[in-house]
Amino acid sequence: MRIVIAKPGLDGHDRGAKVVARALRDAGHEVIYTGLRRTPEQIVRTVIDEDADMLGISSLSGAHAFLFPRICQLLVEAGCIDVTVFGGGIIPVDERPILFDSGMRAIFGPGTKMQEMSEFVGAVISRVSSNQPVGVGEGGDWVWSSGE
Amino acid sequence: MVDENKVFKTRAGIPIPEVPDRDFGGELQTSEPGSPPYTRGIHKSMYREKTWTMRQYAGFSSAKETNERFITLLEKGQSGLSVAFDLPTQLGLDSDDEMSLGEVGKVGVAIDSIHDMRLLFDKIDMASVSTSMTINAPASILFAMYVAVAQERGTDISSLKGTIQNDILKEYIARGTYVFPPNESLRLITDVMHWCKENTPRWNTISISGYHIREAGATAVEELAFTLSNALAYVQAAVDSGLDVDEFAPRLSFFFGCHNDFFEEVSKFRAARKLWYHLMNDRFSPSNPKSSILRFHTQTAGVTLTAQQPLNNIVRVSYQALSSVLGGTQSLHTNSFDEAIGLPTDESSTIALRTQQILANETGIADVVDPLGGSWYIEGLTTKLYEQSKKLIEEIDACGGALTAIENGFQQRHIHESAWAEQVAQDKGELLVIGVNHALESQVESDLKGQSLDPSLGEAQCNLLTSIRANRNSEAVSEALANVHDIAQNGGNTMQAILDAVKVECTIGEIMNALKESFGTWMAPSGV
Amino acid sequence: MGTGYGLAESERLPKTIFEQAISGNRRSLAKLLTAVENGEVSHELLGISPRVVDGSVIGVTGAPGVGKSCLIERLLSTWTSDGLKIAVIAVDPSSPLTGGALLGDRIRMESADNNPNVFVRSFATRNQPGGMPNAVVLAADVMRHCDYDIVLIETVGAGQSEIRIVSVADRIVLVEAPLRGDEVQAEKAGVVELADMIVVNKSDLEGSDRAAANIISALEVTSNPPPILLTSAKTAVGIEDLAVQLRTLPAKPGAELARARERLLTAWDSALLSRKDINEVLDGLASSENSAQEWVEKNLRW
Repeated sequence: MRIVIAKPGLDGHDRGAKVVARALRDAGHEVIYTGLRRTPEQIVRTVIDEDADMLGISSLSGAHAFLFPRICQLLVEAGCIDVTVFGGGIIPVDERPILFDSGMRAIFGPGTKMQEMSEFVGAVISRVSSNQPVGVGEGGDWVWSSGE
Repeated sequence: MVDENKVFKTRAGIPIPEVPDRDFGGELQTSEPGSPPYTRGIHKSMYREKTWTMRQYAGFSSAKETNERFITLLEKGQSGLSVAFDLPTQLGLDSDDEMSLGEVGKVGVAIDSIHDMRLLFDKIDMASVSTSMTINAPASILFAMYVAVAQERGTDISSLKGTIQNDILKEYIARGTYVFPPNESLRLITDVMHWCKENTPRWNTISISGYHIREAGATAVEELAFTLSNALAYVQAAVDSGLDVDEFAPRLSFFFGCHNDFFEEVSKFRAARKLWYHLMNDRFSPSNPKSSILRFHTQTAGVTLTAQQPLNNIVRVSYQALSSVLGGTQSLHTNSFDEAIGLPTDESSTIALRTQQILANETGIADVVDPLGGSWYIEGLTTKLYEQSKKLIEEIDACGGALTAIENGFQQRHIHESAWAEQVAQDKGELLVIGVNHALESQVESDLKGQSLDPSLGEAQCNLLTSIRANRNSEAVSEALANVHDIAQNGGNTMQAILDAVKVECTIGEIMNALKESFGTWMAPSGV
Repeated sequence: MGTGYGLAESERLPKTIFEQAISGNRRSLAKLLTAVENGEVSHELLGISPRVVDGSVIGVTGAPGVGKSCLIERLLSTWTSDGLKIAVIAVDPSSPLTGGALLGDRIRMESADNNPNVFVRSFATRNQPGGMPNAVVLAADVMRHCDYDIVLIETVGAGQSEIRIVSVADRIVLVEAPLRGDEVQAEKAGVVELADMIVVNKSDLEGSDRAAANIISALEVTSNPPPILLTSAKTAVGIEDLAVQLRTLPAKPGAELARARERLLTAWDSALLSRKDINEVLDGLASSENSAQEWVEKNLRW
């Protein structure tokens, strides 16, 4: 898989994003890390130019409520409906449904095992190969839950 | 039975003896607290003279609401203020900048102009309160606003006391809120030092921070080494800019984290004082003894807080706070237990403050100085942390110093490797975290809710900004901004130019842009 | 849905995608590049012939930390403000153990995500001897067909496979930096002889003059040393000059030969490894019935 890991907004805490990027690389994926302070528009452009299959976005600043749905919306508008979007950071549980509604397929909070990230990617691959919806604009109500 | 295969070592990897003895501890510390190299503390009687400053970092949404929180905290017995700014402010962006969308008022208070600063300190006596501001790239702008408000109120600014973080090197290494290239950033910092020496001699011009380096994944050794090597770079820059070391070094302050490994953390603070004393004397030969004394603020490690079983965090914070007090901290921030879930609530931040008050008033530890000194374990760890950090600092020297090492990603790579090693250890179950990979409960995620913010804040802040821009003297604004640019470009003290600019209501974004045009911007290597 | 290119069936034909890419659709170009990278398309399939060498595809190589990406960013903004369109292929190594890769060169190229006249694409080497350089050749040709005036190929000049990749470029620029003067000798056998130009970057740093002098004297032992230019990606000193020179940079005769040799080896590897009986050959060698040397003597000598 080609996976973009991005830090939208102004938050500079990239410890988690970098660890996730490395774990996904070690799991055999090609990971493009964007660096800090990317706008939603820039992130979508990276996804398009790099022809990514998945996009992981991380924010610890509380701006996820605005930034994550905006990125999903721009992806859909750009026709990237098949890109799978997942997120991480400090995302209160009660704020997650709205992110899932915007097309995200997983939210990983603090303490997530890297193993679980790989399992999620594996689940996405198997859904793609069996033609089940998993992209940001493909609808359906599937979201990742740990232990799947 | 002891598991024969288990290797016992500290979080930084120092092997732990089963029963520490003279072989581990070496010669016992003979120096007294208050005497060089200050391993046992910087004051003779430590907390008997004065207890540590309880300084809770706070700030959210608007200046008005944060001001109310400040007044409440002071009423509850907090002894100093610590301002958290939102990310647009930390990056020197106006609230109506496109990049600020979604971030205004989120992790702290939004300050766009002197108007917001007036509201922030409304009804607070600026002559007596000590104020700490977590601000770096635009530190001189926020400090200028603070000074300008004090002057408007007729406060004698030479009495102002507090700290601006103003530590850009750790932003490149670990925290990410940098804007300008390294050399230009250092110039802004030394300009502030020159200005404060003349005008606000009680103000701490920089708080050299290991906290964020540690949070990003560094070990205790890396935290010490990277922080003190950054400090050496600042001292060198200040000396190169024409200051005498004794003119600014006594106003340097430090900021560390306190993590979970209890004894290692206590030892880390002791080693830090000793190391700084020797580094300063070996390299800069100050004549004022205060120039080589390491004073520091501590914050409990945010990264140790779990979203799972969040009340457990109160216990973690308590132990961490205890280690910093036993290590001789000058001030302390205790985290709220719900910070891995969202923004702290009134209740959780009150418990955090109460934790310190219990420690200071009920446990008796404030009545005795360096009570762990003389323990073979603590003395041995202190020596080992001292030696290992010193060695790493020498490695950085060999790279050409902190700045060149940062440009080459040296510290960033080190930290990323340590963060990775910790993740792997945790995933394998070699490192246990209660509620995360041990002692789990069926309910995986807490239904606790963070503080919710008024979503209309961003818009309100933007409207305010529009009206400020419409009603100010635009000629004076252009003139002041041109002056900032000119001074940045051609030399002179930027701090004075910025102070003149904030007084005529230039916004933070406008002043930053004037500086950016001259200095350019920069992106640090990520270390991956 | 969730299949192939994520486009409708009729649009999935490489030629159709190619046409869309030529008409300026970034997403189509990106999809086509994926197919190129996967070895799913060829010049024939796209109906184009291999490009004639004209100096428009430039390899930029050099050790980590010399500032290649920053230098490229400077070139991107200089050239695009002159009205040119530029594409970049940023190559990073794949892990030999897992096949994964971390592609981070975009971070330091601000134009990559802002400038409409720039297209940056990250490639992982994927440990395919032979395959990767071919993919880069086709990718560069495709980009040139899509109106990108210049294609830059960025590699870390560390390993043999990276040298092979950069050898497909029309011209090669080797980037050095101060503090690295001593290492030039060691690299001479590798990429230095391929270079049509050497850029000593970070000229703002103390000691850059000395570094340049070291590099020049190290190269004096070679016949016909390439031109050397001092730049600073940080202060932009020397960038204008570099941007101008690169547009008309002549190939260095010796470098052409060295590059031809690398390309030949690439083609050779590729031909060898795509033999139908390659697995049997390898099995035979692995069970040490024959030595590799003997096999080559017997089967490939003429």
